[in-house]
Amino acid sequence: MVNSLNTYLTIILIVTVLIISLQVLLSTKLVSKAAILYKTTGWFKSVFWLLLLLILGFVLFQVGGGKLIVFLLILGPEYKHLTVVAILTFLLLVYVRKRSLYEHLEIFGSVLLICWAGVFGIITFIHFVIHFQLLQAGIGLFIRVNNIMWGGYKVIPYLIILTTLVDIYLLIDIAVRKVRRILIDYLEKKIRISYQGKIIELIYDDIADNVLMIKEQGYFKRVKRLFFTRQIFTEELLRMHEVVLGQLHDRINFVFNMLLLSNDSYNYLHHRRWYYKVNGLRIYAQLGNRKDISYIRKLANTGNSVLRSEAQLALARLSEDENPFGYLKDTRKKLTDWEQINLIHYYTHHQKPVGDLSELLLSENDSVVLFGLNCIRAFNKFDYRDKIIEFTKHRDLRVKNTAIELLEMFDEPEVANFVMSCYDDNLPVSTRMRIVRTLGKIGNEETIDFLKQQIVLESTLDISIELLRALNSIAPQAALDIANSDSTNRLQRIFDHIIDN
Amino acid sequence: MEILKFIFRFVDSIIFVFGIVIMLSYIVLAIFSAIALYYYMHKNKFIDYTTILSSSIAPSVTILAPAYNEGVTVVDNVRSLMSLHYVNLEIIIINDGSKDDTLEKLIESYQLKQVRFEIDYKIPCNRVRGVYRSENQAFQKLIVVDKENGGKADALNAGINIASNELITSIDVDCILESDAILKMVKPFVEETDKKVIASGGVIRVANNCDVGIGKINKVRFPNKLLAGFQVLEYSRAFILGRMAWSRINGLMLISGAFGMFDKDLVIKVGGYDKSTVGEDMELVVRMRRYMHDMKQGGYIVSFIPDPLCWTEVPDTLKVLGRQRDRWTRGTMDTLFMHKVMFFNPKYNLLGMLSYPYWFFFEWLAPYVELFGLIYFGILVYLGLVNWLFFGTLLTLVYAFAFMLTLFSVYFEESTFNTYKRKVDILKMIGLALLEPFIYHPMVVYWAIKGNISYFKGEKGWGKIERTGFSTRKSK
Repeated sequence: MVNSLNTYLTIILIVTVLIISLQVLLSTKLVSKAAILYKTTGWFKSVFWLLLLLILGFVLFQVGGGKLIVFLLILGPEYKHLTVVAILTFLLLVYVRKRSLYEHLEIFGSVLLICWAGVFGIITFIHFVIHFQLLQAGIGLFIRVNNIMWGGYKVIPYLIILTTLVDIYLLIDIAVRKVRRILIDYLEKKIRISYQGKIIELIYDDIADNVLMIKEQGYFKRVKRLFFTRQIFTEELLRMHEVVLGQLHDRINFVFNMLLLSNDSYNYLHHRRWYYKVNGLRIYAQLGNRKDISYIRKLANTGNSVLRSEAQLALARLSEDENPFGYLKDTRKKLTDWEQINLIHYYTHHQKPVGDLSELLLSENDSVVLFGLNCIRAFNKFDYRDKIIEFTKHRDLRVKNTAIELLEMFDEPEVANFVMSCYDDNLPVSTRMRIVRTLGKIGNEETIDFLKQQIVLESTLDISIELLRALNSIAPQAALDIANSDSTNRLQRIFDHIIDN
Repeated sequence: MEILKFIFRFVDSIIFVFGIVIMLSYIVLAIFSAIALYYYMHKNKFIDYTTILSSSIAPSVTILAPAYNEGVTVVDNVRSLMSLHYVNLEIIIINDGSKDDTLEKLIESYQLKQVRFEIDYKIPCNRVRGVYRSENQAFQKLIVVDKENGGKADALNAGINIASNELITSIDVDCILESDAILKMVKPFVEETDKKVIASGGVIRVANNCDVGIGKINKVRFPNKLLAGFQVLEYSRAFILGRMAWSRINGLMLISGAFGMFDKDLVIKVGGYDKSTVGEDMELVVRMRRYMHDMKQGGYIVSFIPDPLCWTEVPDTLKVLGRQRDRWTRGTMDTLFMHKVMFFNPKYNLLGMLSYPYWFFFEWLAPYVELFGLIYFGILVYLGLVNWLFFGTLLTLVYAFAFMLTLFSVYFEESTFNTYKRKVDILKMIGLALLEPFIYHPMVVYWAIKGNISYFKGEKGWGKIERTGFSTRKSK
């Protein structure tokens, strides 16, 4: 028994020391390449796991008659030396990791530690089961408990087993995720840095050289073959596409097609999961690929809000016609503020013309009309005065209020008179406030009397403040006079408020 | 004897069913939370929040931060608020009649000057003694309100009366917000479709032992004190598992007073914060939701953002923590009793049929059941009626389940926001999760029971709160 234990601990010790030595010996490049292979290729992964399973099976077979490490300390002096060996191996690993002897040990050390702990854990468990007849005892206890328990309580032992299994799964998953995150972050950073230089070479060199380079260099074969690498390469290419101009755009498109990356974007766009579609949309939009424009148009009216917004932005980028918002004409879905914010931001940021907005303003969909009005404001469109005036009577309160606000763009007496005529005590406070604010900006002599009259009549503080503020901006002396004339001192206080705030 | 046996068996069955239902409900919540987080994380990858910054459509926001005797920390905390990324922002600090130098420090640090301000008392609150604005253009968005002491709810009401923007955000002045916190909280409001977003809540994270710079968290570390560590697990469970799941089914009843955003008009319509309760945050959300149902205002949403946006220092002494939990229990009871009409009332849909009963049975009554269980167990031991094998089995199940639940929150945390980057922090979390059922949970039950006693004795106060301040603390 002692001998078999000796065997397995020795094997583990030798394997561990071998792996560490290999890590130290291997060049940085080789280690990272192995890591990339592990991360990115299906076949490598399969072989890796197969080998791991074989090793595990072998080790488990070897240790059939042994004892578990934790119990060595308790069981007796004959196992002491082996315990020391095992602990020393563990400490060696910890030491190597702590000292970060090699750049990659930070990652591989973690993986190794987990593998090491896993192997020992499994061995421990097997020995526990075999030597102490835990399994039989466990089953016996389970049956006993089940017999004692009555009715519905019989479920408890099963629940304990289930919960414990979930606990173990979660613990393993948490550990694996932690290590995986470090590994991926490291790889990503490394690959990204290496590709940045290559991309610059590619797009600044001659096209003929590019073709040769892409065809002949194994470097780019990997881009074609490995998904993870391709993903990062695509990201870097798109990033570059965003910062360069003119002919270089064509170069990047050329490289993109040469490396067959367009297949990926197509697959993304037509993927069943929405977040892949978003990725596809972004690539299409960035590279100006109009191939699937009708499909993108369809996505611009889809139910998923994120996908819809992305499709709209893609259309904004890809549109070449004078009516970039044509797809909104028949939309029944509410165009959220978020979608509007993004669209307006895009057109403002890229100084792209929004064209004629009449179609938006004619829409049956109130949110589209509101978007039209917001565009008028954002892009200072002065051609829609009559339409805006029409919207001041709109059924939707937001459309109505926005239209009233927009009238401040037209500093004309007839507009001011019209706004004045809109004022009604029965209107919501928000609408009245907007009317008064607009009057404060475009008001004239005729407005002064109106404002004075309303100030005296108005009892709502918020509106009174706006009225006096509007009057103050058109005729400061008139505002001061009316404030001083108030025997209750109320208007004087409001006037002070306006001056101080 | 037969009757006694029957009674014991009956009681056993009741407690067992209660336990199983509570466990099932936690599992269901974990599943909903996983779904919500999955969607949120994918969605969040594609969102550029900075577009809101340049938009004229984005709603305007007022931050309301009541301060009472915060002289030690107030200047730094306001500086943290001033650095938030949002264009149309107004920050109102309400000095709720502090007895220390809170106001003086603010006046001095931010070059404040009293202004004439006409206040419309739409919501009743104690008299405002003065409103201050800065003479320095750099602090233009800051307003300081000095008022007579009336408690946190009263201070918030005063702030609402003064706020000029569409959305209000109530925060605890001693919290540290992430610079993009407002942008993220505003997002649900601008995504509104057929359903009106009435409020949005954020996650509160534990800042104990973190490296804190001027108004921001530089490095996240796990607390080095046991009590604070337990609270990390507790907050993680409550926010990531609990509230995320409730928000998924639109059944959220509580938005933490430390960080929540509300539709101002609706808050005014429902009468603002209730001054009579110490659980004003929960009470307001319930009242707003109830109003939406009573007035048949159509569909509405109470949203929740799982990103770590707000950091706070949690109590790390038993005395202070006990006081806080006592207050929380009283707040919960206040809200539940004030809105008892909703209990299993189909008129309130999910709120009446699920959220309220859940809070009633599993938040308020659960400590009672646990206390009763202990007493009952004592009686059984005394009478020699305990089946020890059965007891051991049941205890194992409860323990394994409690551990699993905490592991779920650690797992979600690790696979989503990965706030605790160091491996040792995760190990600490797992270690504490193993200890929690034996050490921390009994204390929480004790404080909850104490809170119940305080409530029935008619206690209304907040208890003394001590502030030490983050001021550029570096952990070891």
